Amino acid sequence: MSVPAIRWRILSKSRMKRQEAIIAWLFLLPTIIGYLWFAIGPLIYSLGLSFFSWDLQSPPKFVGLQNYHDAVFNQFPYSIWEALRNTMFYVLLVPVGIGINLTIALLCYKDTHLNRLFRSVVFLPSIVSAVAMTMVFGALFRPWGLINQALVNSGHSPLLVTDSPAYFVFVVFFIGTWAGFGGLSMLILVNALNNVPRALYEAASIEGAGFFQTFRKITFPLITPAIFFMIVTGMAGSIQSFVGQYMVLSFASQGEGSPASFGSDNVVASFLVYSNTPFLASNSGQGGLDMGLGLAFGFIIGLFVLIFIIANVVLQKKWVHYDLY
Amino acid sequence: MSTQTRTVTGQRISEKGSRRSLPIAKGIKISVMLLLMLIAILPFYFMVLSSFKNPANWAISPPRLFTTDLSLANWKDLFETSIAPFQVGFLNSVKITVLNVAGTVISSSLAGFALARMNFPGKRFIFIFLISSFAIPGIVLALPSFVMWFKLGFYNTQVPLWLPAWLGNTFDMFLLLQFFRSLPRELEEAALIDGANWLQVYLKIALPLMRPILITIALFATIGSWDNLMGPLIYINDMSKQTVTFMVALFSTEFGTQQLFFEQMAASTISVVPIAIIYVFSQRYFMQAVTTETIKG
Repeated sequence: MSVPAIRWRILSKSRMKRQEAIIAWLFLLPTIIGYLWFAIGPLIYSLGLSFFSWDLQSPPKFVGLQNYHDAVFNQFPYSIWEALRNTMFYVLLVPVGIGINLTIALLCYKDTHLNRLFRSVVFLPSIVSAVAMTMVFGALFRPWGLINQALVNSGHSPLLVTDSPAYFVFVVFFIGTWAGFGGLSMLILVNALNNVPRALYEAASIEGAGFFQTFRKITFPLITPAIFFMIVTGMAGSIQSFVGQYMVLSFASQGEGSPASFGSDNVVASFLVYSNTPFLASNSGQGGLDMGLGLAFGFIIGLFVLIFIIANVVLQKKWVHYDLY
Repeated sequence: MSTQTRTVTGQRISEKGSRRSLPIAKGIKISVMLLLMLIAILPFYFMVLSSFKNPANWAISPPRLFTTDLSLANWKDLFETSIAPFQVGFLNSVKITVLNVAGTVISSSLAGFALARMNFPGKRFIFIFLISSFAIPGIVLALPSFVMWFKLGFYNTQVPLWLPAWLGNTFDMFLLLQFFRSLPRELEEAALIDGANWLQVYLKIALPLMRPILITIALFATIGSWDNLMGPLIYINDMSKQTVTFMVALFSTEFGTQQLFFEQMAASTISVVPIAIIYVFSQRYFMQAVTTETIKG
C-alpha cells in the first residue's frame, strides 16, 4: 500500500469518529436541552424564588428566609408538620402495597398460558386514571354510597371520608392498591422471580425445604434489589402524592358546587405546594397565593424525599443482596 | 366432576414424576387467580353498566350489579346539557396525547440509541448527568415550571402539556438503554461497514428491533398523558382547552351528587375506553418487553 493511501485511511477513520461524535450529540441534544430546561433550570430558579414573596400580580419582593420561617412555624391554616405527619401514613403503607403485589407475583410468575392471561387482565386497573377510578369507587364511599347505606340500615350514623383520618387514609390506600395491583411493580417482581436460578430451588427441595423456608432463604434474598427499587421509588412518590387524596376528598362533598376541603388531620404535604398555584389557591384557606411560600414548602418536602432516599440507601446494606446471582 | 378431574390430573403429574404442587393447592391457586381477575374487572363492568342505567333509577341503593332497565339518556345528557363540553375535551385529550407519544418515542429513542450504541467523548459524563434527574423530586419542579410557562406566555395554553415530551424523558431513555444492551450489535455493524450512515442505522435497523420496548414506552406515555390531572389543573384555565380527564375530575369534585352518578359513570367510561382499546392492541408487545430482562432496578 502506498503511503498516501494509508494516510488517507487514517484520516478518514478519525473523520468518521468525529462524525459519529457529532451525530451522537445531536441525537442526545433534545434530551439534554429538556433536562436543562425542565429540571435543572427550574430547580435553580425556584431555589432563588423561594426567597421572594410573589402573588403573580405585583412584582416579586425579596423577603430573605421569611418563607422558610413561615413554612416551618405558621399555620396556612395547616402546619407543614401536620401535613407531613399525615403523609407519613402513606409512606409507611408502601411496603404493604409491595407485599400484596409480591403475593400476586408469586402466583403468576411462571410462564404458562393461564399466567399470561392473568397478568394481562390484572394489569387493566393500571391503565385507568385516578380520576375515573375514584369516581367509580364513589359508589362505595360517598355519603349515599354502599357503605353508608349499610351503616344507616343497621342503625349507625353515616361515615364521611373526612370524619376520621384513619378512614381517609384507608380509602386512599384501598383505591391506590386496587389501581396499582397487577401493575408495573408486579411485573418488575415477576421479572425478578424469573431471574432466580432454577438450580437453587431444586437444591432446596432436595434438602427438604418447604415453601415458606425456600421463600425466606432463597427467593426473597434474591429479589431484594427489585424490592429495594420499589420501596425507594414508592416512598419518594408517596411523600409527594396528591391526586389520590384530592379525589378521595371529593367523596365528602355535599351537593353541587360545594367541594370539600382538607382538614388538619387529613391534609397532605403536597397540598401546601399546589395550593399556591392559581387553580387551587381558592381552596387553600390562606387567602391568595404566594409562589415563594409554595416553593419553600416544596423544598422542605423535597428535603424529606432526599432524607428517605438516603436512609433507604444506607439501610439497604442490612437487607439487600446484590451479589448472589 | 371437578374433584374427579383434579384427581386424574394429580395422578398424571405424579406418574410423570415432575415436582408440582398438590391438585388441591392448584385448585385453590386457580380460584384465587380467578377472584383477582374478577376484582380487576368488576369496577369496569360496574362503570360501563351504570353509564347505561335508566336515570330514573338513580335513587336505588345499593346500586345494582345486574339490570335490564338500560337507556342512552345519561350519554345524551352528558353531551347535550352537561357542565363541561366533553366532545371538546375528548378532542383536546387526543391531540395532547398524540403529541406526547410521538415526542416521547422520538426523543427518548434517539437518546437511548446514542448512549447504547455510539462512541463519543463525554459519554460517561452525559450518562451520569442525565441519570441524576432521578434524584430530583418532581414536587420541587411543579411551581417553577408553572412560573416559567407563565412568563413565556404559555399559561392557559396546551403547550406545557406536550412540549416537554419532545425534549426527552430520562426514565424512558434509561429503559431503552437497558433494552438495547440485550440486543445483538452485528446487524448495525454490518450496515455501517456497508456504508450506511448513523441515521440510516437508527431508522432502518434500531427502530424495528426496539419495537416491543417502544410500544411499551408509547403505552405508558399514552396512559401518563391521557390520565394527567395535575398538568391541566395547573396550566389551563379555559374550559374549551381542557382535557377530558380534567372534566371528569370536575364532575367528581364539584358535582358529586347521587342524581348525577350515572352521568359521572358515562364520563368516566369516555375517559377510559380509548386507553383500554390501545392497551388491548399493545398488550402482547408490552408483556413481552416487560417480562424479558429489560426492567431491572
